[in-house]
Amino acid sequence: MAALTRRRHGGGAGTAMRRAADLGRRTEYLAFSLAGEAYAVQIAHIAEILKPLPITWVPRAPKNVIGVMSVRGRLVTVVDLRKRLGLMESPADGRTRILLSDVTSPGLAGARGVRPQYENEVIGLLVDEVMQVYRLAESEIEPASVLGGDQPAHIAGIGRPPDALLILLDLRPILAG
Amino acid sequence: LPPVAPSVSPMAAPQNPPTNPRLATPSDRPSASPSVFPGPGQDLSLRSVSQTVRVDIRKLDHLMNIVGELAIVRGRVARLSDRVRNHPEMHQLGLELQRLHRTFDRHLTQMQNGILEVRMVPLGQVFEKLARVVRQISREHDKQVNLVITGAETEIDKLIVEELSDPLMHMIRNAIDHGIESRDVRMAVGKPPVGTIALNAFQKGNHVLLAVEDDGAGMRPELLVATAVRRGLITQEDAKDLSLREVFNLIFLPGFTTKETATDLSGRGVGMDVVKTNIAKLGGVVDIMSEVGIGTKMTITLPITLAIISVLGVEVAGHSFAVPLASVEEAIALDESVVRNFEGREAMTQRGVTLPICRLARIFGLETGGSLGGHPQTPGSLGGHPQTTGAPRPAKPCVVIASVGERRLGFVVDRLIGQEDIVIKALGNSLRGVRGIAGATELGDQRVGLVLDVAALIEEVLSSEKERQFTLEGRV
Repeated sequence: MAALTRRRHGGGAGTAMRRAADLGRRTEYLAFSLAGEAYAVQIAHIAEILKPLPITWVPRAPKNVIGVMSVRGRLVTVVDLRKRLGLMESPADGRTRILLSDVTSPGLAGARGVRPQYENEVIGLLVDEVMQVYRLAESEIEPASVLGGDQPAHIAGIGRPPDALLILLDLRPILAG
Repeated sequence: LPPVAPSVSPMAAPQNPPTNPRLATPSDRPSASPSVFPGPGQDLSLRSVSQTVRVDIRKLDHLMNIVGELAIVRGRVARLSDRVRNHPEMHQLGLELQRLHRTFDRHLTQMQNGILEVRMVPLGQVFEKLARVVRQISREHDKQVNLVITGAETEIDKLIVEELSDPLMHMIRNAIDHGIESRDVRMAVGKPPVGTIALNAFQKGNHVLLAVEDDGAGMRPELLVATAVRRGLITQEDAKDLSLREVFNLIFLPGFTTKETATDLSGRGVGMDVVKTNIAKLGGVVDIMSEVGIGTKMTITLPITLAIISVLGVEVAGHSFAVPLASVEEAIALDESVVRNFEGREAMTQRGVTLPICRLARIFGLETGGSLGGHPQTPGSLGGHPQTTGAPRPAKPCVVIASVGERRLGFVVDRLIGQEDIVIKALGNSLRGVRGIAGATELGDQRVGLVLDVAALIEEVLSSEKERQFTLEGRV
C-alpha cells in the first residue's frame, strides 16, 4: 500500500490506474480545518470557495448563522460551521474561507434527507482554512461507528488517506438543522 | 365594549400626506408615469392580442437583477467621473464622462421602469374569476348577490395577482355565507332582496387598496368575543380590554368560526387566518370594519410591486437597515422628553395624536450595554459593517413614522442615511423564520443591506400583550 502510494506520486499513468483498479471507486473530498481538526466534505457538494466578503448580520437569525452576503448578486446565508458543530470559535484571519454549498448540486438534489425548503438555496460555510482535495477510495473510508456507538448524523465517517485523518461530514443534516 | 366607531370606511378617513418633501412618494413609479412602451392604441383588436407574449416571470426577475447590477455600476461610474472631473488635468474628460453617465442613467431608469411595467397586470384578471364564483355560489345557496366591481383596470405586480385570487375568493365566500342574509331576512329589515358585494380596487401612492364590502348583517362584536372565549382562543381577561379593531381581528385567529357546523362554504375555522398569512406574505395587511345591520368592509393594502422599492436608509447601533418608503409617512427628530411610558410600552404625542413608538435597537437585541448582549457580532475582519469600525459618529435619534393600512408606529433609529431605490431580494429559506426582515438588497460596495418588514413589525409591536390597553387609548 505504501509502496503503491509512492509509485503513484512518482510513477506514470499506468500505475495510478492500476492503483485505482485496486482500490475501487473513488470520491473526491475537499479537506478543510476547523478549530485545528481536519474535516472533509464531498467536493460535489461544494460549488465554490470564496475569500470572506462583507457579511451583514441578520437580527433574530438562528445562532449558527453569521449573516448574509452577496455573491455576484445572489444572496447567500453564511453559517459558522464551528458553531454549528459545537467547536471553539476563533477570530477570522487571512486563511478563513467560505465554502458555498449547493444543495441543488447533483450530489444532494435528489438525496433523501434534504429538507425541501433547502432546495435551491446556496449556503455559505465559514471554515478556518481550506487544505486540499483528497480522492478517497471506498477502502479508505471508515464508517462513523468506529468512533463509538452514537455519532451525530452529520459525521459520515473517517477518511484515511495515506498521510492524514479526516472527519467526513455529511452536509445534509448540517444544512437541514 | 367600545361603541362602534363612526368612521366605518377606512378610505374615507383622511390620510396624512407625507409632510417631509424629501420623503414624498417618488413619482417615477411605473404606473404613475405614462407608459414607456408605445401602446397598441385604443382598439384592442385581435391583432394586438396576437402580439402578446407569455413570459416566465423568472426571466423578468433575472433581467431585473441585471438592472440592479447595472445600477450599482452606475453608482461607481458616478464616483469615478467625480474623481476625474476634480483632477486638474482631466477636467474636460471628466465632464464628458459625466454627460455620458447622465445618458446612461436615463436609459437605465427607463429600462427599469419598462421591466417593472411588463410585470404589471390589471386586477381584472382575478375579478373575472371571482365574478364567476359569486354567480355559482349565489345560485347554489339561493342568496341573490350582485357583485359590483370597480377599479378592475388597477395594475399590480403579476406575482401579487397570482397570490391574491385565493384570499379574495375566501373573503367573498365569507361575505356571501356569513354576511349577506337570506332573502326573507333582508325583506324583513327593509333591505333590497338582492345583496350587494362591492369589490373596489384603486391605487394609493405605492400601494393598491382592495376593498371587499357587503351590505349584509355585519359582525356583532360581542358575539365574536364570546365565540373566541368559548373556543379557548382568548381568555376571559383578554376579552375585557380589546379595542374594536382587535375584536374584529379575532376572526383571523386559527380555529375561529362562529358556525357550529361546517358547510361546504365555510365554518371550518381555517380560512381567515390563511387569508391573513397569505396577504402578509405579500407585504400587505387586512383591515376590517363592520357595523351591525349595515355590512362589513375588509380592506387589503398591498404594495404595487415586489421587485423594486424606494427605501429610507437608517442606522441602528452601527447596523444599517432600509425602511420601505411606501410605508414611511415622515421622519422627525426624537425628543426624548415627549416620550411617555404606558405599561412598559412607549408612545409620544405627535401633532395631537398618540403615536406608539418602538426602539429598533431593542426589538433586534442591539442595545448597547443591555442584557441582551452577546449577539453574534460579525467576527473580526469579517465585521459586517464599516461604520462600526471607524470612530462612532454622534447619533441623531430620529423617529421614522411608518404606517401600514390603519396602523401607525414610530421606529426609533440612531440616524437617517438617505433615500435609495433598491432591488429587493428574498432571504434564503434558512432565514425564513426571521420575523421583521422583508429581504435584503445589494449596496454599492458589495455589502448587503436588510430591508425591514414594516407590516410584520407593526403587527408584532401593536399586537403584543401589553399593547392592548394602549392601542385602545390611542384610538379613542
